[in-house]
Amino acid sequence: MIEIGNLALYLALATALYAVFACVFGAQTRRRDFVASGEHAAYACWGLVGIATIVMLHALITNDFRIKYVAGYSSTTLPLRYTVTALWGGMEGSLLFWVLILTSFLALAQFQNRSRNRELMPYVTATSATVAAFFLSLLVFVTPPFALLSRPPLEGTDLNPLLQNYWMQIHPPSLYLGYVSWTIPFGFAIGALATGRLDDLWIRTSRRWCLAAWFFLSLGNLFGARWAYEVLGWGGYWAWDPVENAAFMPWLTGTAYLHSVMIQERKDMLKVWNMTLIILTFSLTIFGTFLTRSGVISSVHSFTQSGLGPFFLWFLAFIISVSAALVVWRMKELRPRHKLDSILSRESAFLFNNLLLLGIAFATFWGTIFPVLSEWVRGVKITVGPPFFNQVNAPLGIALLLLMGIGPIIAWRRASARHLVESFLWPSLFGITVGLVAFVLGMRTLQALLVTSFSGFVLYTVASEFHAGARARRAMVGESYGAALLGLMQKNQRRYGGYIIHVGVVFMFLGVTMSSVYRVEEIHTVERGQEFAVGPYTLRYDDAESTEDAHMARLAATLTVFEDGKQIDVLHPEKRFYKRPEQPATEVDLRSTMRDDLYVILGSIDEKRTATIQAYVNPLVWWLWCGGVVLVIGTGVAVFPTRRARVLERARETAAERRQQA
Amino acid sequence: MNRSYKFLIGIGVIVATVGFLVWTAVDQTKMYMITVAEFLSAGDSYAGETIRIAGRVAPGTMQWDVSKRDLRFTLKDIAHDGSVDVYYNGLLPDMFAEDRDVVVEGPYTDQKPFKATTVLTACPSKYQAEE
Repeated sequence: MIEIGNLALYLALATALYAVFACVFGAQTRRRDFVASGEHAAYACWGLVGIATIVMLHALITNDFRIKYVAGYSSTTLPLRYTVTALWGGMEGSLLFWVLILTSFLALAQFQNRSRNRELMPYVTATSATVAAFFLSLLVFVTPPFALLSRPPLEGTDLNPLLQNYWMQIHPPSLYLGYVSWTIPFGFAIGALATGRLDDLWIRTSRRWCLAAWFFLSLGNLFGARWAYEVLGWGGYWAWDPVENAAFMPWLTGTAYLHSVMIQERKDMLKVWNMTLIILTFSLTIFGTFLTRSGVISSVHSFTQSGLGPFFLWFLAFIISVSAALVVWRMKELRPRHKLDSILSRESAFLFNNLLLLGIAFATFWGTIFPVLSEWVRGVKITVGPPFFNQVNAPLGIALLLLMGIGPIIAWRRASARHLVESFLWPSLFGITVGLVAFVLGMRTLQALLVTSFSGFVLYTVASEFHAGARARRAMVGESYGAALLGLMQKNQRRYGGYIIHVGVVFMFLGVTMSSVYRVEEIHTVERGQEFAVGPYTLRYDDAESTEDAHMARLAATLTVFEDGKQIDVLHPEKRFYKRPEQPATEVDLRSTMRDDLYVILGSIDEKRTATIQAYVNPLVWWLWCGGVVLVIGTGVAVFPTRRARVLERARETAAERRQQA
Repeated sequence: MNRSYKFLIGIGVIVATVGFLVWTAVDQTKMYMITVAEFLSAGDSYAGETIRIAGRVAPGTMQWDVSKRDLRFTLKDIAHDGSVDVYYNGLLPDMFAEDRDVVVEGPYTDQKPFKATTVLTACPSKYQAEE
């Protein structure tokens, strides 16, 4: 079996390299047979990587401890669902999993476009196969996943206990899906540059891929935050750790891209900008992989030096120089045909939204690499912690929130004074009122007041967009209000899906802001029966009990929660001691409501069962996760393949095809 | 005024704001990462700054007072001679133990012991199994 896995990887590398060659050669010489052969090679590569993955899964499930990777990340007592998780729990496995997703996506993209976009497709295949070949050569030459141990142990080391968790099962896959799917739009961009088809064809064709990539990246980040919240046990969900930043940066540039392409589609402007954004986003996904695996920047996760760093840096340099050269080569054709008309226009709102997103990405990048930079330049290692990121990104984020309300309702091209008053009077009044009410109710922090007020403003604009659209449709078509609302969304999925996503983002803004500004923290050392208060709650420590099984020993405290003198819940925070590897871990317990989360950590317990308890009240955290759900719904509305959407797309394609021929 | 000037001013304002925010935030939140030996030989050069000292918990020096949540230990340099006494009040981190590598964070002071506001322990890596 192991030999099959190794062989499959070698052959996969060969087919990927062949696919690159055949597709580029075929496209350059207009030899269709070569292009077809290159695409077949890419399908074959997918199959071979699939075989290697099956071999790895088989080894993990059958506990084949001859393989170093299996011995390092699994054990006979590990439950089956985590045995599968171990596929991406370690370095080699995660790289293999990465290539599997990449080649699957490429196969899917090829199949979707088997009779469309024949000009661009060879380059999509070539680009993605280049990336696949890079990862495969790492697997073949640097970190072979099927490396054997000279003396296989009887029992494996087990998966890191922190990873034995539901959120950790879905967090890495969705993050990888998000990272990897950016390869396909990047491939289309390279194709557009190489062929000179620089109209919005590549953008429209890769739109779904971009949305999917953005969607998975959003989910990946949210799942990661949820994992940190529930498992790491420090009371928060985002620590501005390099590894988190690595996933946040492409999300920011990707968000900027999703907005700025609308300007290109409508106005034929910002072509260079869009190219730059997609190249940047893709580069950041590779940079993120580099960060998490090189150990260059010490993170809370403290990755061991793996020697992979230089390879990633060289590959990154290669990607950036090739794409930059292509952009410079096509610079003349990328020049805009129109100019921005007025600073008070939707175009300019989009432009500033882009700048803010990039500003946040830049600040995050700067803070992440600062230790390396300062050591380089000044010879001293200086690091910046979470306060840096909060201090810089909070004001930029708040400005972005405001633009989120302005963008959708300000007029294209040029907004007249009358239009401004008409569209902004009521939303602004509403936002200000919400802010004032919050102030009267006791909110005194500027940041919280601004976010509350701007959120009111954005929500009002979104609601009125829906309402106005539905009312107009009802008057015209004569449907009921509900049917009009549905028809509206169906008719313009992208626009209304986008609005729904905005609502989700507003929820997240509220959750993040309030939970960081108004969090309450208490630490108490209590004997059995003692009580203490935290925020609106009173906690009574009742008792602790210990249990033990083959996997771990656990110590659980029982805490009764009271509010206004009434018992409302019982919480059981735990301290766990895993046996293999020997490692203590904290298992928090929490009570989550729309108003706030009560988050309880068991610090330690002594012989007399005196316990140290740390408790947090985090207001509105629920809304962060709820915003995530709304975001999922919004993306669904935006990309759901209705019949109408297909017909429209087909019509647009034929029109573009005709223009091209004329 | 020409409209492209307006755009340039708008773009300039955002770029300048980002630059200003980054600059001031770095200044206000920076922490010097040093070893125990560097800390001992530093004199007053870190006065007024926040520092992170990396070292190892010296065996036999850890005192943990559960009721007050007071942690006292001696942090010794990993490679060289020299050590510094550390005091910390808070929850005992999961991975904290004698002979482990830890990082203590706090404002620089020449008073003894060094009062740490945070104690960071190195988690076992996510991507590499222990050898």
